[in-house]
Amino acid sequence: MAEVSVAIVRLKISALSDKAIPSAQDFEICVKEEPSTAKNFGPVKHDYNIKKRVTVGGHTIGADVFKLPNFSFEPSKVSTLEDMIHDYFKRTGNIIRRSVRIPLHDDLHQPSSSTKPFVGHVPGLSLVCVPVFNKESVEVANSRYENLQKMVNLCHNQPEMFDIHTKNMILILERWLIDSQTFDSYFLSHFFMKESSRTRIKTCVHNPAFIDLQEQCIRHMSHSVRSNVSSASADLDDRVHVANIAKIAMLRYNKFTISVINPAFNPNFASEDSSCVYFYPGIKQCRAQRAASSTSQDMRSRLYPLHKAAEDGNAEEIRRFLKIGMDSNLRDDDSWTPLHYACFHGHLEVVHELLNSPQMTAINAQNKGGATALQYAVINGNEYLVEILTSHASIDVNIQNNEGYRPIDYCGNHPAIQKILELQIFKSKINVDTSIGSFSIKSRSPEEATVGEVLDRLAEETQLNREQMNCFALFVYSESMSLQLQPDSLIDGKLKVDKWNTTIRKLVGDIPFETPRLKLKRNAYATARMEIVTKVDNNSFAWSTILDEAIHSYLAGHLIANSKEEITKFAAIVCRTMHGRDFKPSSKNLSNLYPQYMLDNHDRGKLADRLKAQLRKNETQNDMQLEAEFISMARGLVTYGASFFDVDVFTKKSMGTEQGLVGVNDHGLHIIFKKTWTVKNFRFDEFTASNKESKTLEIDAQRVRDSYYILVSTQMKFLTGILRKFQKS
Amino acid sequence: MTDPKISALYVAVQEINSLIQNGTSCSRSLEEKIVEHLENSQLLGKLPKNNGDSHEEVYMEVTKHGLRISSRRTRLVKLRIPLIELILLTTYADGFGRTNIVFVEKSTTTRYQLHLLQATDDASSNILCNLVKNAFIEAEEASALIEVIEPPSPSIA
Repeated sequence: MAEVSVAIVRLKISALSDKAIPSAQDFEICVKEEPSTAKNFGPVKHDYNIKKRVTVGGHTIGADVFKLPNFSFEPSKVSTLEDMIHDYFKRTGNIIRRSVRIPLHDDLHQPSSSTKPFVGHVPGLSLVCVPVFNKESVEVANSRYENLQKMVNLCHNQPEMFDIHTKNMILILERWLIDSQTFDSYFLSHFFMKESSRTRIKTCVHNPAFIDLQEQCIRHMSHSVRSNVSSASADLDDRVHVANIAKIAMLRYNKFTISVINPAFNPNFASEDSSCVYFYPGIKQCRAQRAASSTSQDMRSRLYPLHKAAEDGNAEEIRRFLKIGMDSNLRDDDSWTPLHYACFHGHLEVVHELLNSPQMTAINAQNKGGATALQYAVINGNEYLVEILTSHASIDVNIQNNEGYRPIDYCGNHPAIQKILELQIFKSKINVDTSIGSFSIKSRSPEEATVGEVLDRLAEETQLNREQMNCFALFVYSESMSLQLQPDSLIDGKLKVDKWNTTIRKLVGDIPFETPRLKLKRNAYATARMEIVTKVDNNSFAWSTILDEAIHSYLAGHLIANSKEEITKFAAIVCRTMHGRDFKPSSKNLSNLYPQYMLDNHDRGKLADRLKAQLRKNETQNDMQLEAEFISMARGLVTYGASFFDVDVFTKKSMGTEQGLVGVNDHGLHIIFKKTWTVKNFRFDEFTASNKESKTLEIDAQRVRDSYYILVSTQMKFLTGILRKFQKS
Repeated sequence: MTDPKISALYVAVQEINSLIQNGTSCSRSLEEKIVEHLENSQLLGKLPKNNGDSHEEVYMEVTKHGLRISSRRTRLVKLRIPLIELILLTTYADGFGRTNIVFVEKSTTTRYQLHLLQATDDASSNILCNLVKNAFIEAEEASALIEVIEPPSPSIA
């Protein structure tokens, strides 16, 4: 059960004087006397020998205490206290203007003279104030009006005469009345003198879709003619039906109004015109958006005069603006430079003026879309503009726009422009030869490109990962010599023609003039195991390169077969790869099928016969199987992947010189004597190498095989480098 | 032709959740409860007073789509209430010669917003009430077109 106390306050005529702030004497409060009940909290001390007597208003009060009129109610049955108060007074025949619920605070300071402990706010206890004007009469049974000031004084001096909660409420009420009038000079007028809300309501309009709320409205209901008929019939189903239909109609209207005016039909457009205000779903506020009109053109002329002049092709205006110091690289709202506009509209003189300006016009400037001025010149097919732009020293014809296209990609319909751009593109490419053709590696600055960068680009184009790419290396080569390049070497330095020919003459001898080129080959430090582990055979480009080099090694005689049958298999696979299935070997066309030393030392007729027999055996296998067999057999040989150099071989016994080849791979050192084409294989633990002179290498294998060789070559430093590399590993 | 604009001062807005839903008491109408609730809030200091000088001047426009309130100074729309969410609009005198306008907006299923405005004169408040009333009547008459297409049925919702 909750309890509400009603403070019926009557305003006296003295409050209507000219005083600025009224005091408690200007109010009267309705109180009643009741015997003290068990609701009192706190100890009550009674002295039975002395009876307290207090005279208030001429009456003698004994053990009774003052209380405010109060009511008990169930909170769940009453929505607001104000409604309950109004209902109560209406039942008793009184008419009140309003009822205001006053908040009860816990910060009331207890007077120091009081001997009773302070009791704080009690849940469920409320205070409602009912104002009464001086001419009105609101009576409650068993109660009377007392001056508020007297009540406040008694609360301070004789608190035992009041119920503990009544005392707190009276003090709170007095303070609230005084403070409210202090803050608002019209408080008393609003609180006491204003008529009730019923008499002041003028009109009321209800939404017909909310039928449950219409029952609470008792006047000025809005209905159409049809609705009035339905309402008069008091048929609830019909009323619900009408409400639902109205709700559907209103839901259809629940959309936002959009008003857009075509600028062509509104020359007097003003930014403050609400007709052009947009409404967006979900946004309570809107924002105005201006449409383009002639005024924006004037503003653009003022903000970007160079752009305007470039667009119009006014070369004189451009010259004048540049002369007074305007920035020729200024960008407009779309990040276009004046050069963009000039090239887009094809104004040759304007482009000429901009490029010759002393302020260094940025010829490679890109707009928001990533396009350069050259791209627009190409799109419009202006050949003269393309020539002017490409003749600039700083032009970069390979800049891509945001869609990934270069200016040359728009040359489909302009062959002349394509030719001009191709000449420019050629300068910025690095050509690398491979087994399947030539690759053109793009580079913005070829002078600063390194071998590692080129290998990375090749890896991207050939879809090789890093481990697989380690099996390959970049070589600089010509007809006489081939050298592997270090990854950190500058390519431009290695391709110097004079330097390359000097190196060749130093290492090989006097030869005709040769042009150095780049080629991707198998790495000299790669091993068969490395190729297998990285699964390099799965890449078609890598497979082609490895197969091509293996075939060349076989034909050069570097792959020494272990038996005649094995070498015949090699020849048969090479025959299929080079000449196809229909080739008929004979003693006259074996030059590209067998190594030269085989042709020199053996009967060609017998070689041809063995080859025919092997070809018949291979007829049931396809080319891929044969190629795989070739590589598998090649990797099984100890000389696979070895880098061979021409050397002069000296032996200790004969004291003579023999021409030979020396190769090094992961298996060891291999010496091939060209006269008999026999090979001597040494593992790294079977010999010791010493390099007394720069061109001499001594191979001492006497401890194991009683062999001792002295190798002499002008390329000994390369051979020694590879040898030490493998010895360390 | 554009709809007429009604000038007013936007005083305050307050959110409630139980006042309108009360259906047990018959002594006071819904309008009386709303007006007294707003005035009590002003007396207790929860809402600004009507005579304040800091209130913003606004224009109110009524269309068949709803009520639109825009600022007089900046011409930006401050508030837009669809017709389906405009539950109640009432005008009353504040006791000192001015006319106040209160309209109830449905925020969510159980909560409502009370918007309190002060009209510049009595004529403008009457015009506003007539416009809103005509909008409601127009919606009811438009619903008759739906009945022509679909037969009447209590299940339509």
